[in-house]
Amino acid sequence: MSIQSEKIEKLVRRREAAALGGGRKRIDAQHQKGKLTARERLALLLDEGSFEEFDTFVHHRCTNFGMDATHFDGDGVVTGQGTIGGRLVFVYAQDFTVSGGSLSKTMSEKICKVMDMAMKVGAPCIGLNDSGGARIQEGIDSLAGYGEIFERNILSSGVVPQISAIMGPCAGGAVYSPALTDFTLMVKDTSYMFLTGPGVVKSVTGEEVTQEELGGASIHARKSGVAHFAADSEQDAISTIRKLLGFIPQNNLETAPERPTADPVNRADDALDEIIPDSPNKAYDMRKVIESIVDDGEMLEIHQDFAKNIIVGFAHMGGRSVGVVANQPAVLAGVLDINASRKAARFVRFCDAFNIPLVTLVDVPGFLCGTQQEYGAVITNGAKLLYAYGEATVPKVTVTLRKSYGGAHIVMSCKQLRGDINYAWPSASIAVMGAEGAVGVLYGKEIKAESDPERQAAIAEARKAEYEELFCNPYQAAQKGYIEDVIEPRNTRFRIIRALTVLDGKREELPAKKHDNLPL
Amino acid sequence: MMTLLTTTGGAARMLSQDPHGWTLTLISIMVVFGCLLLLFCFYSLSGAILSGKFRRKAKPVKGKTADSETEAAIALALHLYLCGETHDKESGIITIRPRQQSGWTDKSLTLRKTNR
Repeated sequence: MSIQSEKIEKLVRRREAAALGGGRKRIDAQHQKGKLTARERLALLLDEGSFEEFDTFVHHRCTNFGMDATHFDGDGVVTGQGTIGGRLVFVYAQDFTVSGGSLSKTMSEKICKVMDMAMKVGAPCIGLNDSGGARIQEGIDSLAGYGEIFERNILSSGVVPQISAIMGPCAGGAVYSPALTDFTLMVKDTSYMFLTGPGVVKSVTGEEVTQEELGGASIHARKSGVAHFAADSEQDAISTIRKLLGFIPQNNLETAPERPTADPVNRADDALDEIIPDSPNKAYDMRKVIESIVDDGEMLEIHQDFAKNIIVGFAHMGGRSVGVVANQPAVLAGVLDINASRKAARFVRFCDAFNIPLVTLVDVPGFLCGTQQEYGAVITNGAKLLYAYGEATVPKVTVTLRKSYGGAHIVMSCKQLRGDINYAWPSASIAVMGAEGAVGVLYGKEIKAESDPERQAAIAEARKAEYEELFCNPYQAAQKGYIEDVIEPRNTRFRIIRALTVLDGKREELPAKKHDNLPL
Repeated sequence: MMTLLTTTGGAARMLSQDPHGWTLTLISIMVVFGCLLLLFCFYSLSGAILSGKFRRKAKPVKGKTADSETEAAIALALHLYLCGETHDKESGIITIRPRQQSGWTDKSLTLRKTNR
């Protein structure tokens, strides 16, 4: 064998050894926990044959505590580039089989390298987190490593899409990277995120809580809203990432890929003409409206289990990717509250950052009242959604289905927030407040002046009918030009798609500034 | 000493039969060259044995003969085994689709802005 052949053979053997990470035993332990290895996850995520690994042979440089005696090629993270559906992405996947996936300076350098390349090339960056946290032996170097990653998350924010999937533990300072990314997915039963673990919680507060209860996927998907998706399995999470990428562009100067569809643009749905109940206090499911108007009835809902009184998600309409924001009358009558405002605001800002048009379906009776909301700063949080819509320069098409009262009307992409095309159904009721409340304010004295309860009820009913005739319809707004047209519900899909087509060439600017001061 | 040697048995006979010493000379030369020949044969034979000259040749198989594709496969396998050729694996496919034209690829955005 020639010397050159020997060298090539050495390369091949070393690459094979690097692919084993921490070794066969640790791989088996990972599988026994119901988890995949880093390379197995990447193989599922990326198109076959597309993955090119960078920095396969990187070693850590730590000499503390005898660390120089042990080296693993790759140092606990697999990084590189590949494609998803033919679209270039940069990826990193932490390898729990090597030092528990703990972050070292060199691991950070590897991750930062792919993040820098994603920014240079203008492609999404996807991180699969499965780490025990900072590598204590490295001392402050590991903290510096985290800092470098966070700074890149910040600089990349709004430039290239960033997606984090939590596939295992993610605790302490490590949680800030997923928090800074655009979307966070978690896996039920095998992943968790918290700043301080159950042990510290017990010693400080005396509270006894499990890892799952403190920071499991279900908790973050339902209660805190930190996780946008809670997948049943790793395969499900990876499949969701692939689906999600189909709706978003490569970077902030491109548009999302179009998806051809056989669903006719002018498909009319008679069921929409009957979907609004006769009684204004009766609920209906907004999802049925959304499924009726989007291509093939398909929508990828974000934050499905969090703040269910508002629905946000991606869909296609006429082949183009759109962001859908819709109040859900079936939950809390569709009112806006702290969580709903935060959820929708973040989504609207993401769509605006990445040139995704917004379609808003409105049926909102107002903001949720009460001390819990007020003490929780519903004012500031509601202002976030208002700000997000007002700032957005992407095409904004709004359809008011039923109620749209008070401040909530303004917040939900009204004309004055530079809504481009605003429609309303004949059932729409656009007013300062509903008839019941208005009559109480306007005619309260007159009603109380009557002693007879029956007479009081009769006056109230009469005034209510008068108010409804005048205000509880879309025509006041139409007369003043606050909406472009009143449309028949069955034609909603066609009207929205046409509006989006008209707005394809929209250009709108914001005043020059260093950055805004969004009410946080 | 010379007188003593020439008057005793063998030597005396040799002297009488071969007074000029041609026989002795011839025998001596024959012994030397004989030894040289022996040494030559010894070294030649051992060299031939070590270089495998006397290995048995494979007997030709009677009946079936391998077709050309099989022979080529065997030859390649032998070549790879004997010459130790291993290669780093590559997928060989580029899956990246052509990117859309957009502001990101607009080279004018990367030009320096100089003060005028």
